[in-house]
Amino acid sequence: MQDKDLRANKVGMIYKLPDGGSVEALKDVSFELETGRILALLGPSGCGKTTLLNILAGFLAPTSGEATLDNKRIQGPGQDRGMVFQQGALFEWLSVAENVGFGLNMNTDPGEKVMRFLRNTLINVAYVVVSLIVMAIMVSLVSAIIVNTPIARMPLINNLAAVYIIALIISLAILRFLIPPIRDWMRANLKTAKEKESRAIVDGYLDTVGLGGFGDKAVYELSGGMQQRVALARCLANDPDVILMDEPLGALDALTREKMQGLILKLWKETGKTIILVTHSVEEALFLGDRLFVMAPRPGRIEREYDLPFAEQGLVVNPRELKTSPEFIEKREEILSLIWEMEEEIMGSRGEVL
Amino acid sequence: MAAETEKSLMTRILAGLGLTRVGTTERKTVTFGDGSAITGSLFWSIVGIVVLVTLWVMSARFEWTDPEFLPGPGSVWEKYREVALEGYRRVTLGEHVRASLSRILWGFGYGCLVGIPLGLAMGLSNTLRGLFDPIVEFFRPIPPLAFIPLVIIWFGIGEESKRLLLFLAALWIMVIAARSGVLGVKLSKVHAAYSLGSSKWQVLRYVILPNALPEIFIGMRVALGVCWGTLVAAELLGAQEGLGQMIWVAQKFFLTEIVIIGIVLIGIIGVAMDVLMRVLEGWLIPWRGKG
Repeated sequence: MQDKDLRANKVGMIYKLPDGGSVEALKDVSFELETGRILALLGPSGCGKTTLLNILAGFLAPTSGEATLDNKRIQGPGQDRGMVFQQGALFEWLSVAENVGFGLNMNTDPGEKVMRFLRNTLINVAYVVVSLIVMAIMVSLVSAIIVNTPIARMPLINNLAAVYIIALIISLAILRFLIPPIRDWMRANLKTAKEKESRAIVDGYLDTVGLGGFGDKAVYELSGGMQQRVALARCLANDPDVILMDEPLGALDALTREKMQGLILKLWKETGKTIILVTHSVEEALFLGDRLFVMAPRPGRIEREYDLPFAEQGLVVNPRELKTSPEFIEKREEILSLIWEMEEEIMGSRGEVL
Repeated sequence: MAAETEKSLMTRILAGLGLTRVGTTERKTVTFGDGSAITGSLFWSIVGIVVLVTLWVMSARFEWTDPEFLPGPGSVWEKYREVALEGYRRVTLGEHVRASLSRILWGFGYGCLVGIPLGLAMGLSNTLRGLFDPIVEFFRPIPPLAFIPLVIIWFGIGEESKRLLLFLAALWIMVIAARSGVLGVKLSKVHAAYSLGSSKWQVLRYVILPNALPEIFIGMRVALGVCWGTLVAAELLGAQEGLGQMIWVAQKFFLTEIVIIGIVLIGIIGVAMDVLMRVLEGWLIPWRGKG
């Protein structure tokens, strides 16, 4: 139909164990996902959901078969497939805006790099000049003051060094307050055109995920739910064709989780991206998945496929009502018992081994 | 109202001295065994120091000990004036300190310059890990002092041998800190960066390096401490200047005052370096431990 379809063609993955044995994590997984669908992967632990996601992301190469996006074989990670991890995997040394703009800054042309290098050099020179001026003033002030006091006649280990050290400590204390405003001013006013452009994009995506105005905060100052929003925005800012989500809401509390589910639905509809979402929660899979694969373990495979109406409805109907509607509950019970059967099978086979 | 502010002032003073518990630990009923509730007490710290100094003064005043073995604070201070202003054996205290510090900075600086890239490389490449791992693991547990005889045979007792010794003391610590910093990077962060279009070089520059920085900094603090400890022994190799050399020579002439001055100065400078590193750490890596 469209040209950006994601396909898996008999994908198989066998992990070799150090003791010589092997585990078949995936066997003959085939599917075709049209552009703009949201697919939920559900299944008991060990069914290969995360392995499949890692293959699609390009972090793992399958031992058989192939995955293609836009009819091109997936051979490694790339900007056409964005990833949202369970714990954000944010870069805590960067601000919120720098995190979101990370991908935008990766492909800069040489001219832009030279511009930024010159700008950064200018800023560093400015730091050094300001620091030297402050230190020079302090050294002359401290020595002028000390000359007329008993300190000058004190048997310090080295009076000249003592003057320098005192001046240095005072200077550092002053610079601690002087440097940040200078830095902020220069960062705000000495941007290259490309940086202004990318900051505008970043602010747009921060607004989209409801974090407008948080751009200059440090990542670790935000709550878990807000950090996941940053991770979403970072992924969106790169404008990928497919967004892969590995239990993105798994570490959040129940209330935040529900809010975030609404956000994911909204973003899905607004951006029209293809999304694949791995989850442990049946309810989440039903609510967010416009398609749903229930996977089974040993070997990992797609056990049953569903086309579901709830994701579309979730955009117009109140999610609470939707989740308590008879159709929703019926489907939930069906899938839950399916998964329970598999779990019992696993436990049973383990019992035999023992 | 006034009584209340006075009371709160009193409480604040007591809290400042660590005599009352404050904040979140105030209402805790279990403190014996709860490490987070034990914050120390400024008051008792002062008491400890005062008692120690008093004992020293009294032992000198009442001659509990022979002044040759433990001179009193007064005579140490007199000697300090003399050494600081005129110098001991024509070398002033300032020159001793400068000589020691420059050796430390040389050894520690080159230890970082070689150790950090080597450690990073060992965390990033199978070949380099395999190549250097046995070497590093073998040399790491050897105290730098054990190299003194070899260093003397190779380089004599000049400045180079002391610097090489300090370099060796810092090197292994920095290698291991940088390596474990790289190995501690969460895989999902690296994956995220590649998905966002980073090249290998960009992953190193923008993800692995900042992620390893806190551990590298801890390594630097430890290495600086170990270097400072090794210095006194390194200066045994014969030197004209240096705090370690000064106290060794003073010991030969039974000048206990100078030995004490040297020890106190070594302590003060060691603490100052550690404080400086901690301040820098707070400024340069505010995200430490918040990933």
